[in-house]
Amino acid sequence: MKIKSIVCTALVALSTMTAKADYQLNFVTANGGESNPVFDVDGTTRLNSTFFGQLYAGADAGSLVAVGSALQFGTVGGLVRSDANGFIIGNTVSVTSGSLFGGSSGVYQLRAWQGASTYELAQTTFGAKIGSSSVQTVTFGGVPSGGGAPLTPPDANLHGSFALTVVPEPATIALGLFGAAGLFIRRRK
Amino acid sequence: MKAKAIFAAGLLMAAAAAQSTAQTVFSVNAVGFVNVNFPPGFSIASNPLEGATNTVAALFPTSLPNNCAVFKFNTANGTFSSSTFFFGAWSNPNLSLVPGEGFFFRNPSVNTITNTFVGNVKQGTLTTPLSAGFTLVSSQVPQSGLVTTDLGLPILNTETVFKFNNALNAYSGSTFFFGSWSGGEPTIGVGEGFFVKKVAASSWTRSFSVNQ
Repeated sequence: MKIKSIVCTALVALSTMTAKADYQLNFVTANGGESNPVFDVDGTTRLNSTFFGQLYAGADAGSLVAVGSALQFGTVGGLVRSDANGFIIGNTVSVTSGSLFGGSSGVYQLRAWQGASTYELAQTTFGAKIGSSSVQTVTFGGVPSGGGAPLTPPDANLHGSFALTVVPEPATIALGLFGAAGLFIRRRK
Repeated sequence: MKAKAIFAAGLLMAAAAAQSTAQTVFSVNAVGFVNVNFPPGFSIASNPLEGATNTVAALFPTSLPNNCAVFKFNTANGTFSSSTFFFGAWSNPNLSLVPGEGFFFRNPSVNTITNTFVGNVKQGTLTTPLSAGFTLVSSQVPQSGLVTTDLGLPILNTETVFKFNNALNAYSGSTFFFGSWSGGEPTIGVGEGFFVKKVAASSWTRSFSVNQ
């Protein structure tokens, strides 16, 4: 009876255990030709060190979460460099996950902003600037689920260029909605 | 003699003598340089000499092409730490590369990069810790040879050495079983690193002297 209870306890413990491992990607946004900078709202000025970027990653576009820390654009090794404007040259980001490992296919997105401490706050801050890259599929680095030899992390540099936009003030949004509603009513009549 | 096959291209023996009242004591340092080639793509390499400062910023020139990167493997948590070279600087300039550690080097260009490592040949009792699971290592001395027969890597049944084939961008593993290697005993070159997968933690210890 005692053995049975020990076995049951072990089985329950086993069933509630989730294999945790790290998957990794490299927070380096410049591609080989440095042809994918991120621009300010004018579409031509590359983001400098007053702008921040954050990587989001997950299994698919619907499960993106912020990973690692936000970093400044236009810096390399903590030093501000104008030739690095438009890019983030950071280090490897490790993410603990129960389902994604080295060799797993997943996605990432780069989100950039200025005027708030996080991208989410910037989204609701009038006058802040925000923008995000397309969602890109990558094969993550790290130790594979089967325990094979570790895979080096890929750079987060598969996206193309994009430009930021200014978060409009609420009155502007309301006016826009009011106008849209007016047009809708007029068309119905 | 085979154990002393040092591949330092230019080896300068710097001998310093100190005299005590009882006897004459000689301290001999072997200072030299080693050229290590990094072909396009990924390679597992190592720093074969103990330099004055063993960081990526000190070991590599600032003329590297953009997007060169170094990846070290942290055995404790199974993750890589990296430093990427862009616009004349490293993202993590203080990332250390000491003899005995292996590291991935990414050469994003189409040309082979040759880096000259300068420093002392390590001598004395040299110990490289090996964890259970994967450890990215190299010989602490600039010597090529069979990984166990010549370089003294301790190996047990079911343990595996993984080299990285740059041309194929893939690992080639050889596992030790009852006195034999599944793919032949791996040969490790000077400045080359490799993964060893151990069933239990141990140490890779060698006594080495250039005068032996």
